[in-house]
This record gives sequence, structure tokens and C-alpha cells, in this order.
Amino acid sequence: MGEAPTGPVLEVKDLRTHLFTSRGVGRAVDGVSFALRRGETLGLVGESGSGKSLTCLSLLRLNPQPASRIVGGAVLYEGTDLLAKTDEEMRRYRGKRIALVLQDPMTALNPVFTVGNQIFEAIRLHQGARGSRLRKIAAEMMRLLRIPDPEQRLGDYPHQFSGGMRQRAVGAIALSGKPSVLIADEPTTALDVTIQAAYLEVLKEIQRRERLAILFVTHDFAVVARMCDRVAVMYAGKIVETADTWRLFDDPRHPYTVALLRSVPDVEARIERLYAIEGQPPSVFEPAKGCAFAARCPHAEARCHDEPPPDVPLEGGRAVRCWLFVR
Amino acid sequence: MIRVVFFRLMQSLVTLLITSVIIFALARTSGSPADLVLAPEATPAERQAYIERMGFDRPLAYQYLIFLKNALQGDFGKSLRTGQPATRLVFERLGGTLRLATVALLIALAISLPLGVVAATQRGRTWDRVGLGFALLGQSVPSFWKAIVFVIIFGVWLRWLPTSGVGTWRHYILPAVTLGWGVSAGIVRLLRSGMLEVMGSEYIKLARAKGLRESVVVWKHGLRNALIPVITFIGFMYGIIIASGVVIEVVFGWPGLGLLAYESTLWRDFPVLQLTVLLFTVIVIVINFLVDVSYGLVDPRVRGG
Amino acid sequence: MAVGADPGAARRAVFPAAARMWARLRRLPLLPLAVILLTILVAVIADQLVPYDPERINPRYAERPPVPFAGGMWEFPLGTDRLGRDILSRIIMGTRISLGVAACALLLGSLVGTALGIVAGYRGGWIDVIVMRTADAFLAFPGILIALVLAVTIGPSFWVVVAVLALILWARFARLVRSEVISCKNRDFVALARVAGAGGTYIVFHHILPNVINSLVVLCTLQVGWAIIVEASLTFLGAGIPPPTPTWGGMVAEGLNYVETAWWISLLPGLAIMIVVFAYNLFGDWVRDVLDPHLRNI
Repeated sequence: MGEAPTGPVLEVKDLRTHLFTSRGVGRAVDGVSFALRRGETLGLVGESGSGKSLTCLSLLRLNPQPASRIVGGAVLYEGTDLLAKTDEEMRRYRGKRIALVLQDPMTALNPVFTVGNQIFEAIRLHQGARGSRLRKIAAEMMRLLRIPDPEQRLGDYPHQFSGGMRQRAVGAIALSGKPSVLIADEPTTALDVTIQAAYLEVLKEIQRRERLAILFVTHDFAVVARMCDRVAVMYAGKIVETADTWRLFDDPRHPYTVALLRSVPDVEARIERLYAIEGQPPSVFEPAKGCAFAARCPHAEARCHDEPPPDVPLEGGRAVRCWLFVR
Repeated sequence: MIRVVFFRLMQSLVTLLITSVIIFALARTSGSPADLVLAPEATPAERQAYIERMGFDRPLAYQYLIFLKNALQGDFGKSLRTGQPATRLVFERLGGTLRLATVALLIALAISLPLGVVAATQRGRTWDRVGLGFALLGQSVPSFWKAIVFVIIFGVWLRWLPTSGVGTWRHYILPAVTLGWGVSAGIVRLLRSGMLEVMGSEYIKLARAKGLRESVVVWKHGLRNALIPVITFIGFMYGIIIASGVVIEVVFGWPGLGLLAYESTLWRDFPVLQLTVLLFTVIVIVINFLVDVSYGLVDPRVRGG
Repeated sequence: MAVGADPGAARRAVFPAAARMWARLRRLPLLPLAVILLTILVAVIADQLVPYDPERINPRYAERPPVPFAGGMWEFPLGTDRLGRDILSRIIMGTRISLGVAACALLLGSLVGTALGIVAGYRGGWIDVIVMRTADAFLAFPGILIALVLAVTIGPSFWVVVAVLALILWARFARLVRSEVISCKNRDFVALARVAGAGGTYIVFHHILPNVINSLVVLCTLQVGWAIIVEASLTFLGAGIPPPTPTWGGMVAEGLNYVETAWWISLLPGLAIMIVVFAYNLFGDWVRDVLDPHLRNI
């Protein structure tokens, strides 16, 4: 496909995906905007329940239905809005241009088909390969993901794979369509630390070679530091701060980012201890009138509670959604 | 795997033994078993000979062993009605029941697989209602009444189909459809709830994210998983088919084991009835055994362990 | 979005659990419930309700069709059978038999099954193995055929039918109760009670039984329809309640050979079975959804 050297390959504008349940309407994704360039990794971090996963699924229009619905915004892939496509047109983007890697490798593969069968499916669909060529490409994909003995392991069932190998198999499936965007929804959360490091290494190598754009969802700052060029911090359905990774670590601006980073004792530790921040995030079913973080924010002023803050662009291409930076 | 097969085989034998004990015990609940097995016009000498042969004057446990020995030798006595050996009468009818049950199961699967899948994927909409209604009707209407309504509609009013006996393939339609409907009810419900669960799983998300057509996602990735509980249910379904099969064979005059059991009840032909019940149990046990053993074919996770 | 404009939203937000309960209650299946209450009432006062003695033979009025058909008369709104007995009276009396058998069988089956299920689940070990293996054997059993054997050996009767039904039912109850007991046994409040020195009987009656009741109610309502159908099938085959007692299954059987000419003899009692069983199944599904949504598969 044609490369767009200047513009971003994926641009998300004011995406809103709401939940429709018996408890009412929940604004789980409430105006998310970001851009992703070729060869770049954008980290999307935040507590569980902040809307990261739903954002990922919404980009592919795979959000659970009818429990949730995309109610507004735009998802521009090389300038065309995916939200305006028919279901059949949208299907042709999935796997071919935008691929998805899910969080739990233990459940992401279909237990009743061989791993090979599930990779074949993707290759047949996207590359039109048949017969022995199909096997050859599949084995190549597995070799690319550093799965040992690919020829033999094609005939194995998922339960015969270890967790790390399963996640690589999922990666092989995702990359079979030669996509230009990879959405990775916490791909390493379920893996051991050593296996995780090896997996990230493989992913980075492929990214360099294919100039892949990656949206990397995680709540692990160690992984962010290792993988991401830029980071977007998500809180209660909104992105509250975007910055280059090193700038964000050196000099976090949004009070939530500050608290989040402070709650990680050191960068190598995982972010399980988030509850160091006082209070709870608001329920998506009762959105705050002003800033969603105001109730927990040490710097909150009167207008923080009354009016939602605007997105404030700052130096170095970063942006913060906070009243403190409005002059 | 061989250990699993062996274990299941042992279990099946135990179930079979329990059944034989129950039948043996039932035969003793009615006072003298000689009255059950001998024709009313038997002479006192004949009675005495029979009582000695079967050891009715001995302790119960000994009687049971004699019963078992005779059973293993295929000796279940003679029919009180025709005087033929019970085994011959029963095995003549076995084919009829198995043919009907198989056709009924095929019809049930042909109806309920698409209906269950479509009901789950169209949750809350028209086809879901159709599927659930079909299942509820199949469960709530006794099979003999379904059979009679079919006879009235297709046999008496429309005169499209024969309403009793055997002969052509047309004779199969009414009994098999009646029988199949009852079984479909269970399959539709099971498949629907299975599909609803499976379609929410991560691998379905991944299959969609690959860019697969929705039809492939549903019919390949979804159905294949939702079928696992249905297949384990097949042994149980054969039980239902056989149970409601008795009634249906009676309504449609279908010469199978069920009709034989019914006739034997009317004639108080205990030797034949006893063998029929044993054979029914054996069929159910064998099918359950086969289903359990072939479970690994549908679920690869079981194969290795 | 009209979140703020919905006056119920605030209330729902404050009592989400209560709101969900209410949402389910609102879907109360009124028609099935009405049918169930009506049939219970009819069963109780059947002998006061019947226009005629349901067993009285009256050849002068034999084979009258129901009222709207040629030859029907208002004296016998649902027609008469081959012996001139009033079908309406027989259906009313049959209600008592059908519900009576179901009630007795369920009572017997649930008591035995619950007791054995609790013992098996609470004690575990070899008692558990024996009880559950036996339950499996009974579940695999062709109940209808056993009933046929019993009909030959000790003769058909009300209590034989009840016994056959209970023989299968106890196993279903034992299975469900056992699994509930096991999941409940390991929960904190039971462990606490045990630590506090409570005895086995006390724990079972005060802590475990109340937690099993919901599932019991669900299984009971779901099995009523099944019990009615099996009783009718047995009677239809001549292995159930013997004539001349009016029963739905027996009435269908009596009309079987005359469906071409006197269809109503078989059709009307069958319709009664269908409506009642339909009502119980719908109601049972609803009870399950309200009390115990996780029991989807029973």
C-alpha cells in the first residue's frame, strides 16, 4: 500500500464509545484523540477500567455489541474514516491493514483448531496462498516470531503451547496480513517477566524491519520505557496527557500522571500498586461535571469541579488536559 | 487414553449390573416369579420343574447368579404369547428401533444446529424467538400428542403421509419428525447458550480481528466449540429418543422394541419385556461409552491428557 | 444522551441491585402464572367443579363433538367420549391427578435427593462416590420401561407412577444439591461457623440449606412440566394410573383409534397437558432467571 510519509497512518479524533446497559449509559470512551505514525510506538497507559481496551476494540469496530456503541468521532486510516465504512468494507481493513493482539494468550487461540490452521486462515485470507506455499509462509511467520521448530509445531493445538509461545502465535497471526498498524492490548501482562522481555524484543525487531506503527496498551511503565516512543495517559475515558516517553518520565505535567508515576516505586516494578492514589476513579455511569480527576487532585480549583478542562498543547508536541495549564 | 477407555468400560459394566439387579428385583416384587414367566395354563408339574431349574427355593443371591448365568448364555426364557425364545423376538425388532432413532437424531440435528446458531447470533430478535419457541414447544408438548396432531393433519386431513407401519421412506417421516422435535428442543437450548458463551470469548474476537467473514467466525470458530457439549449430550439424547420412542412406536405402529415392550405389557409377557428393558439399557450404555471414548475427537484438549 | 433527563436514572444509580431485581420482576410471566394458579385451584376443588360425574357412562350421548361443531350441545361444552362421559368433567378431574402425581413425586424426589445430596457433598469421601455413582446409574435409566415392568409385576397404580418419577427425580436433585453444597462448604461463613465450634447438623440447617433453597425452588418448578408429561406418557401406555380414573394421558389413549372420526377425544386432553406444561416451563425459566441466573444449564 502507498506510504504517507508526512501524515499519520492512523488518526483518531474525538472517539466516543458508550456502554448501554440496564444501569444506564456509561461513557467508557469519551472523546479520545491521538495520531500514530509509521514506525512509531504509542503507549496507551492507565488504570484498568479507564477505557483502554474498549478504545482498541473500537478502532477495529469490534467493540461488544449491543452492550456498547460508537456514538461519535472519527478513526482515519490514511485519511479515510473507518467509522463511515460498511461492515463488509471494514472487514477488509481488519488484519490486512490494522491487526490486533489480545491480552490473554491463553484464551486468544481457538482451542479446537491447530495453531497452524489458525495461521493458515489469516495467510489464505490476506495473501491468497494455497497448498505447500501456505505452509511455507506460515512456517516463515512462526520463525519470524522465533517459535522453535515451526514445521512441526504447525500441527500442535494451542494447549500444547506455552503461554509465551501462544502469544507469539497470536503475533504471527496478526502479522500475517502484513498490516501497517498493530494494536497490542496488554500483550505481555499475562506473561512472566523473562518471557515478556523476549517477546518485546521480537516485536521491536519486526517493527524496525516493517516500519510498523504500534499502539501499545499497558499499565506497566517498565514496558512503556522499553517499547514506546510516545505515551498517552488515559483516565476515565479521556486522554489526559500525551508526551514523548522520556519527557513524560522526566517531567510529568498532569496531576494524574504525576500521581501515577509516583505510585510506581521504581520503573522496574509493575503497576499493581496504583491504589496509592487517594480515592477512586469516577464511575463511567456518573461522569463528573468538571474534570474527572478533580475529586482526587491535590491542586483542584473551583472550576476543575465545574467545567471539563480543555486539551492544552504545550512545548515539544505534548498536550495536557488540565485547567492548571490554561492561561 | 487406553486407561480412560478401560475405566469407562468398567463403569459401563457396573451400570449394566445395577440394571440387571433392578430388573431381577422387580421380577421378585410380584410374589411368585413363576407366575410371571410361565403361561397361566402351565401344569403344576411344569411349575415345579421351572421353580427348581431357576432355584426359586434357594436364597435370593443364588437366584440372581442363576439369572446372570442364563442371561450370559442368552437364555431369557420363552415368550408367553408366541412360545418363541424371547431373544429371537427382541432381536427381530432391534433394527427397527435403531433405524428410527438414527433418522430421528439426524432430523433433530438438521433442524436444531442452524436454529440454535441463528438464535444465538440474533439474540433477542425474530429468529431467537422462533428458536426458543420451537424448543419450548418441543419440551412442553408430550410426544404422543404431537404424534396424534401430526396424524390428524398430514394423515387424515391432507392425506400426504402414511400414519402407521413401515415400508417406504415416507413411513419414516412422521415418527422421525415427532421424535426428532423432542430431542431438538434440548439441542437448541444447549447450543444457543453454548454459542452465546463462545461468541463472547477472546478467540472469537481474534478471529474477527483477523478479518474473517462473520459467517466463518460463527460457523467455523463458534459452532465447532459450542458443539462440544452438544456431542457429549448425544448419549443422553439417545436416552430421550428411546424413552419417547416407546410412545411414538405405539402411536405409529412402528415395529420396534418400544412397540414390543408395549405389547408385552398388554399381554403380561414378562420374559420378553425383561429382555427388552435390558437391551434398551445396553444400547444407552454402549452409546454413552462410544460418546465418551470419542470425546477426544471433538475436543483436542482431552486427547493429550 | 438523555442520561440526566431520565428521572429513573438517579434512583437506579442509588439502588442498582434493587433496580435489577425490579427489572426482572417486571417481566413476570402473567399468563403462565394465571394458568398455574387456575390449575391448582381447579385441582383442589375439582369434585365441586365438575358438572357431571366424570366416570358416569351415558351411551345416549356418546361421541358428541364440542359445542361449535355440528352435533355439539351446550350440556357437554367439550363433547363426550365413546361411552358418553363428559369430557369437560374428565379434564377437570384429570387436573387433580396430573398435579397430584407431580406434587407427590417432586416432594418425595426432592426430599430424598436433597438429603443424599447434602450428605454426599458435605461428607465427601466414599459416601460421595457411592451416592453419585448410583445417581448416574439412575439418570441413565429408561424410566418409562421400568414403569412398564412395574405395571406387569405389581400392577399400575398412582403410587407406582409416583415411585417411578421419584426414582429419576431424586438423582437430579442429589446432583444439583451436592454441587451447591460443595461450593458453599468452602465459603468463609461456613468455615467461620466451624471454627466457632458449630456442629455438622447445625451448619447444614443454618448455613448450607438456606443457600441451597433457591436452586431447589428453581429445579422444582422446572421439573413440574417434565413430571406431568412422563405421568401422561405412562398412563397413555397403560403403565400409569389405571382406568376408569379420568387422566389426561389415559383420555388421549382412549381416543387414539378414533382420531379420524372423533378427534376431540384425544385432542382436548392433550391440549390441556400442553397448556399446563407450557405454563410451568415458562414460569420455571423466569424463576430461574430471577433467583439464580447461573443455573442456565439445568
